[in-house]
Amino acid sequence: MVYTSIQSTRSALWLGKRENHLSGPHWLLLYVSEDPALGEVLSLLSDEYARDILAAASEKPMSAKELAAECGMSEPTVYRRLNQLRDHDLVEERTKIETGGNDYNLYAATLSGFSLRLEDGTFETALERTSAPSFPGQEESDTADRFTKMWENL
Amino acid sequence: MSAIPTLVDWLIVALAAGSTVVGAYIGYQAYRGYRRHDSPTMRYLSLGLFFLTAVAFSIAFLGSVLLREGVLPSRFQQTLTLVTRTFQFLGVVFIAYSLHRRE
Repeated sequence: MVYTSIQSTRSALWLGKRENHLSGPHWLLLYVSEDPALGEVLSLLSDEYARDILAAASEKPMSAKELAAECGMSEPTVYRRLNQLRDHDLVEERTKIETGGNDYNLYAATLSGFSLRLEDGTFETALERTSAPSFPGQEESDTADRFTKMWENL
Repeated sequence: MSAIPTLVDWLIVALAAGSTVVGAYIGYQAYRGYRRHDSPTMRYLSLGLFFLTAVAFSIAFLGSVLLREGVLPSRFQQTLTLVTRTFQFLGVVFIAYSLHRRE
């Protein structure tokens, strides 16, 4: 449910419509121009590869391999962008537990909105993020699946 | 005066049965988790929960009924307690093992 709202916000944002039709739990971060993070977030978002990865990872959590295939990039490119995106908490990493121990990571976009305002000589930006699940497996609908993920991640 | 002990007796029986059912439900969810994810961690958790709740409670309950009805001689009282405690111990050991084992 959370991921649907990311996508709708994302399209509204890129279309230039700033409509706030978010329903899930969100939190807001305010940066001012002095914050070095603003410049880094802006330059990260100006990168087409990073935006493509965010767009793909907002639809459903994907592995780096899936992201590379979806966005038509090499895996090293995907990993480099994912690291940068993760440094700013724009994506989150989840570990997919596989039988046989071949666990791999899934990446999900946590960015749901970004806005910039210039007022009285300072830039004000707001970053909206979807809230991460508060415990592993929270989004599972089956009790046994939630139980397993919770217990395994204790 | 005699009505109160009967009521308490029934309450004890009902609570023991309730613990068995609810405990078995938790164990069953853990067992489903084991089947769905092929997770040995969940296998030990479900075994532990079953031993601790369903098995230990059922044995204690059945045993006490058999003892009270005189089907089982009263000298088996201690054996019954020992068996119940063994399953409870195995249960918590399995849960602790499940908590600490890693793939």
